[in-house]
Amino acid sequence: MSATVSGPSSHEGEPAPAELLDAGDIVGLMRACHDRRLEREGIPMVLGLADERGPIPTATAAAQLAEGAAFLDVFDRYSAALVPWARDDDEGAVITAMQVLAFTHFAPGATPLSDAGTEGTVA
Amino acid sequence: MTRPSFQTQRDQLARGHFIRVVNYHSTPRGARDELARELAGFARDYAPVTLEDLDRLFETGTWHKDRPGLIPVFYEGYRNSISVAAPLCDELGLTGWFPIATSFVDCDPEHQEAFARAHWISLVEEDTKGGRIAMSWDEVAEVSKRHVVFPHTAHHEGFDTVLSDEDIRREVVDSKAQLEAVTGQEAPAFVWLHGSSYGQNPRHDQAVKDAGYRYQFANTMIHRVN
Repeated sequence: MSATVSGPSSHEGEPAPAELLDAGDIVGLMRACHDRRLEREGIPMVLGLADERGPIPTATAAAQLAEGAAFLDVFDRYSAALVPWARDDDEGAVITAMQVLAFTHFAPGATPLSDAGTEGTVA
Repeated sequence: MTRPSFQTQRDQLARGHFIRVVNYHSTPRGARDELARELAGFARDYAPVTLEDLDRLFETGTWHKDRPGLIPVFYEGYRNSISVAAPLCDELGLTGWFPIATSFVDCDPEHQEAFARAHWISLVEEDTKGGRIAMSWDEVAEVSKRHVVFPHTAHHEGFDTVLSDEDIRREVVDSKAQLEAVTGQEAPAFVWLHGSSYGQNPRHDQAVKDAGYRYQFANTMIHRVN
């Protein structure tokens, strides 16, 4: 029921996330983040915060709000590119879009959000 | 309760309610240098997140450090969590969060490989050379002095296979009590196999809440429960 992890020891020769983003290859980004070597590399994720006891105050830090807005922009772009067929409550589809967001914009060597701008626009 | 959806995620991002997490599993000695480089990159760009930092973020909605926060999570309770991951976190000033399948730690080392293969715990080649694969309880206690340790159920189970009252007590309640007895401190969070969110099943949600967990980690969000 559990596999012994094995696989390539490096990503040598594979395009970097920034190159895939420059080429607008969002499907390539999804493949790359799913090809992470789990015994060597982490899985970057951006997780929302939900307080089941009551509302969380809205952030007051401008940088935090700006980053959230930038994440929201790319989340919508990647969702449209990858999972336009998904219901609003399709958790697996939400996870897929958020994984690509995190892999593309905060894994080591990723493209900073401020540079993402209009690059990688979905064809 | 908050169910995962595209709209939920949009609302959370728009309000600034998010945190970065990086999930790891086995961290073998043979890949230590690669892991060190990756964690060093994170430590350079992001701030550590302690339990108190996460509490404050939920209370105020605002992140209070000069760099964004990042939570490195090392799942399952592998022995290499204390021999590789925790020392690297210490060296780099990161706070590691360690969800532990408590029965994996409890299992006789002779049978830990079979336990892993029976319960969706991935192994690397180093784990199959014989000897202990999981941390010992003393090692769990040691990690808890500088990092955050909490149950990942007892047997690495998902809510959909934890069905009877006895199952729930063993996987949700007893795992917490056992961990707290060893560490001498609160086990503040819980996470199901597959990262299922709070809100999937009222019975399981109530069990997590009644057990006294502060947080449930899931694949799209962190739920504050108590």
